[in-house]
Amino acid sequence: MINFIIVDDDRMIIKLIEDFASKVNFLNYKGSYTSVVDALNDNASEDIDLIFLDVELPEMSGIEYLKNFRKKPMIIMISTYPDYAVDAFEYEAVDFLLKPFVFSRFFRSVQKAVKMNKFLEMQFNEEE
Amino acid sequence: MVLNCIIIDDDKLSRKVIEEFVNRTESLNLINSYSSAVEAINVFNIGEEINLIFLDIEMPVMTGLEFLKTLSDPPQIVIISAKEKYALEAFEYDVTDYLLKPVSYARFFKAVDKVLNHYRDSHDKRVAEENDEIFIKKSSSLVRLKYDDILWIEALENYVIVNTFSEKFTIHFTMKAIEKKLPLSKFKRVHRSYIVNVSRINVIEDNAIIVNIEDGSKVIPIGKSYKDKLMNDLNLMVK
Repeated sequence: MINFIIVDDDRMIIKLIEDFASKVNFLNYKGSYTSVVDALNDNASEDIDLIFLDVELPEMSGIEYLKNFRKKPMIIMISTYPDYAVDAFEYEAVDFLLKPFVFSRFFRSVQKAVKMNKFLEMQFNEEE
Repeated sequence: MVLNCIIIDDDKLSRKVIEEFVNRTESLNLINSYSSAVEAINVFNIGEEINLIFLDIEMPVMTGLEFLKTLSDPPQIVIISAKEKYALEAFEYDVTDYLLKPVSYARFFKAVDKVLNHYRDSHDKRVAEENDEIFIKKSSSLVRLKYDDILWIEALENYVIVNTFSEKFTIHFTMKAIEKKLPLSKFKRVHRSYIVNVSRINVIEDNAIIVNIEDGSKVIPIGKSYKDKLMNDLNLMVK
């Protein structure tokens, strides 16, 4: 089971992802926020594996705060501009979705996350 | 772990820069360097195992992405391009990283680190499923632990301590979660705070289990609520 949240201010995209995710039985929707910091401050986001993150939110919506999660979540970046794709590699995102995207493209990104998650699950991180 | 790699770039200077980076990196072994994708295709026929390709995109005759399409079972790919615009398409090909020229050694090294982690992923996932082992991440490297090497696991507040003959690993996990991950046949929960590797049990006393350690033995208490189930399970195994 992969717990995910959406960080975006676009109501339509939030609805779209919620709809798509409901068709996928291993995705568990935990809520939407307009910044990573808001998500961190909400205790409900304690155990998040994956974030759909809109890169156009101001100040990259706090991407540097990702390491403050108990377990650093995976990111799938979303944007209307293809130019941000190269940044997605810099931030080690699992995938980059160009709006608007269809279900099959969404599903492919989720499958990449599953693959990555299996690997992360096999790892136990030594306490620093 | 050393990875065999090749470079494909029509620009001689770019090739030289990456060649130098590869030579500086201990975990990489340069098989060859090519000025075109067409030349590079032959390397796959020699039988030398290629684990990683540093691939330029804008090249005459065949672009890097066109070349990628021809590979049925590609190794890991790190794109090195002067242009950002191919990054979107690169995500469709499942490349491991995408570097913009001019590339710094630090950025190059970060990409290599990603490659090494991914390599362990697909290779070791198969091995792990067959060989009963787990991985512990120690700063930036992975320590492979065979189940057989784990003696017992002890819980402490928000984390657990995995005890082997030589080391103790303190990891951020709950007892419940770790119990779920370990195979039932090899590991038993004997107490609220202890899980024991059954094959390491030396003696079972009335309310305790004795495990051999390097310089003596460790006494592990058996919790009241765990005792009955434990005895039942062990009996089953003895039968």
